[in-house]
Amino acid sequence: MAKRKFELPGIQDLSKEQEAARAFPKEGRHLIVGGPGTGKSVLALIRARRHSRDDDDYLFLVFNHLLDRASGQLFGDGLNSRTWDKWFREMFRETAKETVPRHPPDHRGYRAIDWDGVNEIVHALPEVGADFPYLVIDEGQDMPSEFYASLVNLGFARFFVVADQNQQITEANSNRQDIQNILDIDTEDVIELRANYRNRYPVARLAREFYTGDPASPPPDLPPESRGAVPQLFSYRPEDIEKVATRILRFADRDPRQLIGVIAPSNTVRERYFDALRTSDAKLDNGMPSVNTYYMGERAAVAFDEGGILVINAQACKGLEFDSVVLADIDEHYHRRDDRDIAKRLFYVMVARARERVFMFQKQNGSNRIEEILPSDSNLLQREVFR
Amino acid sequence: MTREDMFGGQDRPPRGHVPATGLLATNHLNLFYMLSAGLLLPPSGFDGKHYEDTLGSFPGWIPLFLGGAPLQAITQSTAEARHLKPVLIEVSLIGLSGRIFACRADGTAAIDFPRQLNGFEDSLLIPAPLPTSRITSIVYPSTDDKRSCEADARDYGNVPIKDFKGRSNKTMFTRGRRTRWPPPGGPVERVAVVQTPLAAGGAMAMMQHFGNLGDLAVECCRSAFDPEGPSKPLPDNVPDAIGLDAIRDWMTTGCLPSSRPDGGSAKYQDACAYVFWGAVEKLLEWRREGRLGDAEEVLLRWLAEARSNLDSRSQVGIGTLIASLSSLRGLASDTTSELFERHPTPTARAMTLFFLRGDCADLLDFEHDALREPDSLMAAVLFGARDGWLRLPLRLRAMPGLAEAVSYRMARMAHRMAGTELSLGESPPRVRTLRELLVLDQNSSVALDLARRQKWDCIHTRVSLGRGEYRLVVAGGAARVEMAGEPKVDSRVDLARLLRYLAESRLDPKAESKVRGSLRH
Repeated sequence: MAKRKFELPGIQDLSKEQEAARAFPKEGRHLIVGGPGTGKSVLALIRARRHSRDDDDYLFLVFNHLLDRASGQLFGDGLNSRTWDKWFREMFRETAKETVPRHPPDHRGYRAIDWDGVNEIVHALPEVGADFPYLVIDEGQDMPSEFYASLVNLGFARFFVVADQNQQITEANSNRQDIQNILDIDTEDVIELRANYRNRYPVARLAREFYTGDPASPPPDLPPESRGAVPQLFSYRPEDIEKVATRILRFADRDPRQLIGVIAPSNTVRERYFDALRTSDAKLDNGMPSVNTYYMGERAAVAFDEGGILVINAQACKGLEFDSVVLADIDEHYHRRDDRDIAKRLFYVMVARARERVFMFQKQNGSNRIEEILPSDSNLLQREVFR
Repeated sequence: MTREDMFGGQDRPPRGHVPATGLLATNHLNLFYMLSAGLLLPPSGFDGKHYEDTLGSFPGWIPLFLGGAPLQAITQSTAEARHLKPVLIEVSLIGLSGRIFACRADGTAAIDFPRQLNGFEDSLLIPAPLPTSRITSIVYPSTDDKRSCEADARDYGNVPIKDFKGRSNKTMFTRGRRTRWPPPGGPVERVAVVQTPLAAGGAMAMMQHFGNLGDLAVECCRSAFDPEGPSKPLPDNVPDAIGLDAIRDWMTTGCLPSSRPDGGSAKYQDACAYVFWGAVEKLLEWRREGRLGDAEEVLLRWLAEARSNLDSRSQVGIGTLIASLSSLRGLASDTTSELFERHPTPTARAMTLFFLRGDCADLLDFEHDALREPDSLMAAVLFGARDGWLRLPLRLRAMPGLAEAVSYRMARMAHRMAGTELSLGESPPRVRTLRELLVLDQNSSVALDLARRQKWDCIHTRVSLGRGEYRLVVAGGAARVEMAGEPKVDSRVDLARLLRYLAESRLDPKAESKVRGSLRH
């Protein structure tokens, strides 16, 4: 399979504000805030790369396994990354010599960390005085504020946190002010990124249509170069799903190094697209690309360092980056007319996953309720009947 | 307050000779940008990412301090942001000549450099840009700053800081000259030409990277790097599919022949060349206008425009091409093979590649059996013109001598286009393609070593045996000849086959450097 890897930015790629964030000294506590595509994760990876190059003791903490895998594979050799909760439990056990207190299992059997219990134990601990590693935290808004408080109480002092509270996907999360206050970060050590680094202009412009207006985390400015093609929305007959799969496969085949994310509204749609792609007999130049799927909670062997197609659920897409994104059967997304922001936030995150291209598919016989949040301007989203 | 405090240096004795170097005071991020661009740039060349420094004092002019930079200049260069670090770029003045401005304590005046120097100059204002090949060293305030800046540069994919000598000298930053900066008066702002030379630099580099493809590729490189030198006629069986005259015109003057078929088309061999060079011209325009809009759309618009100027047969071809390229902006149904089959001309294929791949590095990695030498060369020009030298990643600049050759030629083009009449001195030689070098050195062991290392089936061996009796022993599926004495073994490469292998394979830069290092030329 064709290889992908984390490419260092060119000097012309980083804005002045990104440069200021990149230049933060290793010591101290720093917070980088910005919307999707502002290059937060790139800065975090550059930071980790620098620690790695200097043989520093550092950790790159991410929210879930998929992000852990994506970051590690794109970084190349030796990113010292972990999921925050697993690392926290292990670190706590080693430091406090007891296991992390947890709540009883919820309806899914998940036992959340009992932060009150953690707090009690941490406060009772003698001064540890250990030489704690540098922490580089990606998607820092998704970690609970108690997590940060516990780290500070344990004695951690060197933080580089990147966050976007407009992209929170969990309930137990932190907002910008939480992080800044708990970590006691000076205002001059907080940088708000505004320029769009990731998305091509038409993708960024479409994503902006779904911005719901949280002033604490404004949408990024549009990229300066208006490069790229206008996203397309295809309506197709459900019986043409194989043709849709062929078209996606040929798109992948024309550039086997690109990673395409097919983002589905549900497991049913995810499986439908995955099956159609996997079983297609499309005539291709480079043979069948790698087609994988993943659903929340599953630890699949997903490769982010090679081209191919990854079919995932909308809930699993946050924080990931694809070269192109296909939004499958958008007519099946849950949409409450009395609260459009729920669907808009989801579309904001899904669209912003794409660096270069966005394609949407909706079934011709499906619900058209989601149309309410889609732009009608064909300069933003071109509608076509799939043939 | 003494006269020297106010006006600085008036009473100093004049220098007795033409200074060998001048110092540009700036900060490390501006330095990085200029190293990537291969040019010492005016602020307008930074695409909005210029941090205030001495370049901003006289836009369009490069201020070079003689005998030390004033403290105000160093302070000015780091004032914009707290993370900026001061640096001094030492620039060679040897061989430079022409109309510049000299800043002296008694005012600023235009002079003929170096003839009208009088030794009282505090600084020189030289029309921008200057090639980074003139940098003799980069000076940092301390070894820690040097180390930190060099580490910083490694956060980017296109800052070739390792190619330049760095040194530290605290005194140069703490005991600045007591001269006023910026001096009163001075030249008016001038608009420096930057975008076309950067595009030409990208195209030169890309042609160099495809330079082993064949005779046309070699001639493209010769025309791009030595446009005023003697050209070598192409072999009879190699048509000039790209329009070598257009390359020479572009690289000599910075301008392409008119893109109108009834006017400049005499310069173009056929409709394909007209469409191709018209597309390059449109990309240059797009760059000059600040890269507004999408480069693919620029090409689509040009094709629509060119179509109306062509004969009916060409119009059909262009129409099909427009349809294919437009479909590639969406979820097209064609495979790459189908696209190449439908569009067999080099111009159409080069444009198809332009829509299929994102940047120069992607193009170099692209392989397809249907691609022919002119297809790749024309794509190289389009990609190079779009990305420019500045955006090339380090691995595409690493060929020894390439950066110096490109940097000088970009600056020369800029000055010719602007009509400054500044002479940049002797041109660094172009980097000859490996193909040329192997032809020149075909009897050396280098070609043989290359063929062996790459396992190319192009070695011919003659074993000369002396008089005597030989015994052929066949055992275990192998055979050997046994005899008394020693045979003479003479292995040579079949050059034609070697060159075919060279064209078909892409040597990685390390392997190519190794071969180049072993060759005599």
